[in-house]
Amino acid sequence: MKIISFHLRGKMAHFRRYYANSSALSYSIPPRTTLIGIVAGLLGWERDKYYEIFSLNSCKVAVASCAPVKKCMQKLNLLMIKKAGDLNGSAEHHSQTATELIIPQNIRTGIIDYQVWLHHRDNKIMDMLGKLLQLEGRGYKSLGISLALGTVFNLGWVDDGCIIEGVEKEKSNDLSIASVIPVKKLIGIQTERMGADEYRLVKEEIPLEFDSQRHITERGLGNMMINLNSSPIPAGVESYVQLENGKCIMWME
Amino acid sequence: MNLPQLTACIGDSLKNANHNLLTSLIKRLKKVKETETAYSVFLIFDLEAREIRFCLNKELSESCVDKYFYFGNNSAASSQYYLARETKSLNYLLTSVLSDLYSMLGKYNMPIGELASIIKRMESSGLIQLAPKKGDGRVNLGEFSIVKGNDKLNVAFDNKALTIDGHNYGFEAVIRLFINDDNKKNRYVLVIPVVKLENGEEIILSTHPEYLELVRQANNLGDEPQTGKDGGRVCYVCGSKKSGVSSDYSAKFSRSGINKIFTTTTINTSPYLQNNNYDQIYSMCTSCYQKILHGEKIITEQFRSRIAGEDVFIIPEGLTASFNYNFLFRLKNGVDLAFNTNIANKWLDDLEGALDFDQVQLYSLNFLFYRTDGNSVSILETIEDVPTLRFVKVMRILAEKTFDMEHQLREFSIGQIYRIIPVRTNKKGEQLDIGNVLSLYKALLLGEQIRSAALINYAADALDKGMRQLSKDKADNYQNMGLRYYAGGREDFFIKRIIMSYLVLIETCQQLNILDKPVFDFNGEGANHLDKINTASEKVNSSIEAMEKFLDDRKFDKEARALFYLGVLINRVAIAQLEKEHKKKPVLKKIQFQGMKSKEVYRLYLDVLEKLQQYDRFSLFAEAVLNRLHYYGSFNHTEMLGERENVFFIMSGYAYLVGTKTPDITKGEEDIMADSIEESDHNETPIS
Repeated sequence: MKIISFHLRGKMAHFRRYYANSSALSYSIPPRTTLIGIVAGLLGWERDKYYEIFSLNSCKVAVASCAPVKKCMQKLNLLMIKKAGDLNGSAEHHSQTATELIIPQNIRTGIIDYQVWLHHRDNKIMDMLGKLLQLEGRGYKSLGISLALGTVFNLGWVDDGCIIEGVEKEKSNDLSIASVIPVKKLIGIQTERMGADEYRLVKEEIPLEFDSQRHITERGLGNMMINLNSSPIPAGVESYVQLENGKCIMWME
Repeated sequence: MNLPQLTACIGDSLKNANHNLLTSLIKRLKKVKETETAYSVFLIFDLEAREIRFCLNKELSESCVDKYFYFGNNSAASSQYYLARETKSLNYLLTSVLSDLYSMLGKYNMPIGELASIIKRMESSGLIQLAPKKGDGRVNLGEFSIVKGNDKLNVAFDNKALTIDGHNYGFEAVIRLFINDDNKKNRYVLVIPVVKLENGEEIILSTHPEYLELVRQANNLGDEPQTGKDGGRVCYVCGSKKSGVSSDYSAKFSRSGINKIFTTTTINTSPYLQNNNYDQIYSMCTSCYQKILHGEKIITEQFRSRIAGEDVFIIPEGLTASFNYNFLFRLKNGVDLAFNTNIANKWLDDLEGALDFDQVQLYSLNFLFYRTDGNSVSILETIEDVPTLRFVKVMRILAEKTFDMEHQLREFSIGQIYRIIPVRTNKKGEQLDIGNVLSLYKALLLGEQIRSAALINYAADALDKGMRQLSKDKADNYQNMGLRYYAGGREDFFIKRIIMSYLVLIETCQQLNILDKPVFDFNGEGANHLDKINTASEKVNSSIEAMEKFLDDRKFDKEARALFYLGVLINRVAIAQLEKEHKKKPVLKKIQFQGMKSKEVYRLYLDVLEKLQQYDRFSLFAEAVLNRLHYYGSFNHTEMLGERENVFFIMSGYAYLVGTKTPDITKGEEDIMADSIEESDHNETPIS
C-alpha cells in the first residue's frame, strides 16, 4: 500500500485534552482527530465536513514523536469570552488560564518533531495530499489553513513529505515499533531490550474518530503507548505495517 | 493518565459493604480539638406543643454523618434543601431549608407524599413559613420554646447570629441556651431537624425515605435510563453507547474537587462559541457519573496531600489491567512520606519492609498540584506517568550521595529540595515562584533536561536571599528555607546546608543524566603531577588530604578547586574575625552572592591575603591551602566559570570548613567556636 509520510514540526504545541477545561491539559502527541483536522485543513476543506471521509475504515494514521519533548505549565492571559462579540478584546477582564504546553527538551536549540504516516483508501485524496506535501523546498504547503500544532498560536510547518510503500503484517513478538502503539494490539513490551535512559513510556487515551455529527463513535477513543524520548519501542504486537525503509509502524485504531 | 477514567476506576473499586448511592455525597465534619467533645443536636419541631427547641442528641461519632445523611450545604445558587447541617450553617435551617425542600418535592413529583404533608402541617401549626420562591421561606423564631409566651422577648436573626432580647448569640451559643450548658469544651457541631407529630411520634427528617429519594433524583444518582430506539450516545469515560449520556452531570461535581479540573460546561467548550452542544465535546453516562462522583470523594479524602507547601493529589495508576486499591493507597502513603521525610535512606528501608517490590514496578505515579479558592480549581503543575521504579531510583541516588557526604550533610531527601530553593510569598501567604520547585521535581521524576546553570543560579539565589533575610532582625519572607532556625548568628550552618544540599542535588542530576552539561567532570588531568602535601605538621597534611579527597569524590575541576580553597581561606578569616568580636563576620560582606566576575574574585583573593596578615593567621595550614589554591588556579582574569559558579565554588570551600576545627585553630578561636562545633554535631535540617 502507498503511504504518505511527513513531519509536523514546530517550537511549541498544545493538544487540549477533551476533559480539561479550567486548566488546559495537553496530550503528548497530536490525537488522530487533530491530525485528520490538520490534513483536511491543508487540503482546504471546511471545518466539521470531513469526519466521515477520514473515518477509521477509510483512512489509516500513525504518528511518532521523533524528538524528545517535555510539558510545561504556563499561565496564559486569554481574552474573557462570554459571547462571540467579546472576541474583539472589549471585555474588561482577561482570563488567566493554566495551560500545558509541549516544548522540546531544550527550547533554545530543539524543536518538536512528529512524524505522521497516512494511508487513505481514496486514491484521489492520496494524490492530492501527495502533491501538496512533496513540494520541493520551502513553501506554503496548504490550500487552506495555516498549520498549527493544536492551538492557533503554536504555529508549525510540514517537512520531508514523501510517499513510501508499506505492507500490513500479522502478529510478531520481536519488533521495534517506530510509531505510538495502540494498547489493545500490544502483546507485551520487551523491557529487557530497553536501555535505561532511552525510554519515557506514557499511556494516553486519545480521540480517534467522530461521526458526521461530530459525536465520538464507539471505537472513537483509544489508549496509546507513547515513548516521549523518540526511540522505537521494542514490543510484541498483534498487527503492524512494515515500511520499505525497514521501519515498523502501527495505525492508531 | 486519563483522569476521568482513573477517578471512575477508583470510585468503582472502593465500594464497601455499606456503600449506597448516597455515600458519594456524604461529607465529613471538621474535627474538634482533642480537648473538646463534639455532640449532635436535634432541632425539634413539636407539632403537638407548637414550639421549636434544640435537644441534645448524643456524642458525635464518625458514623453520625452516614446515619443522619450529612451532605454539607447545597452548592452555589441551588436550592438549599439538605436537612442535616453543621451548626455554623444553621442560618440555612432557620431560613429556607424546609420551604426549599417542599418546593423540590413538588419539582420531583412527590408533592403529596408523607414528607410534603408533614411540612404542610408544620406550616399550619405556625412553626414555619413556606414561600413559592427559592430562598424565601423561614422558621418562625417566635415559636422557640425559650421565648414563646414572653411577648417582651424580641428575636432577630442575621446570617451569623441571633439577637434575643438585645443580646447577640452565635449559633452554638443559642443551642447552649436551650441545653443549659456553659461548658465550652462541649461543642455542638451537627444539627438534625426532627418533627414531633401530634401523636408523639418523632421523625428524623434527614432519614425520611422520600427525602433520600429526592436527593438521589436531584443528584442523578438513580438507575441508568434504558437505552431507547435511537441507541443513545457514546460515553466519553466508558466508551459505550447508552441513553442518558450528557454533559450536565459535570455541574454536580464538587467545586474544589479533582473533577472541577476537567468538567464544566462553559462557552469555551462549546463548538463555535455557541453556548450549546456541550455533549459533543465531553459527556458521560449515569453509571460513569456515579463512579466519578464516588471517586472524587475518595480522592479528596485519601489521595490528597501537601508537597512544597501546595495541595496535591497523588494518584498511583496500574500499568496493567489489574487494579488493587489497597496497594494504590499504600503506595500513595509511601510517596507522601518520601516528601515528608528528611532522610532518604530511612524511607528506602521502610519502603522495602512495607511494600512488595515486585508489585511496585507495575504502577506509575501521577501528581496534580493545584490551588482552590473553594469555587474553582487551578492546576499549578502536573507530573504524570512517573514509573514507581524511577521514583525509587531518584530516592536511592539521593540517599547514596547524602551518605557520601559523610559529616558534611546528614540528611537530605526529595522533600528537602523545597527547602533549598527560595520561594517568595505575598501578603496572603501565596507562594509566588513555587513553579521553580515544581519544575525541578518534574524534571527529576520524568527525566527532563535541566540547565546546570539553573541549579547554580538557584544555589546563589538561596544564599543571597537567605543571608539578606538573616541579616534582618526578623526574617519576613522565604520561610520555606527554614530561616528561623538559623537566626541569631547561625548563618554559617545555613550556608553549609544550602551548599552541601546543592552538591548532592547536582551530583544526583548528573548521575540521572538530566543536566545539559556536567558540573563535575574533572578527569584527573594534571593531578598526577601534583606532589602530595608534605608539611611538618601531620595535622595540616591530613586536613588538606581530607579536602582533596572531598574534591576528588565530587570530581571538582581545577578552577572549581582553586575557588574552593579560596573559600576555605575566607572561612579561616571569618573565624579570626569572630574572635575579634566581629559577630557579623565582615569578610562575608565581600562576597557578592548574585555573582562575581573573575576580576572581583581576584580582588577578593587579595583582600583575604591581607586579612590573613592583619589577623596574623598566615599559619602553616593557611600556607598549605594557598599552595593548593595556586596549584589549581591563578585567578589571572580568565573567565573559565560563570559569575555565579564562582560564588558557588567559593562558598563550597567556606561551607566545608563550617563546624570543623582547623589544624591552626587558636585557643581563643576554639573557645568561640566551641558552641557552634557542638551545634554542628547536632545539626539537623529543619523541617516545616
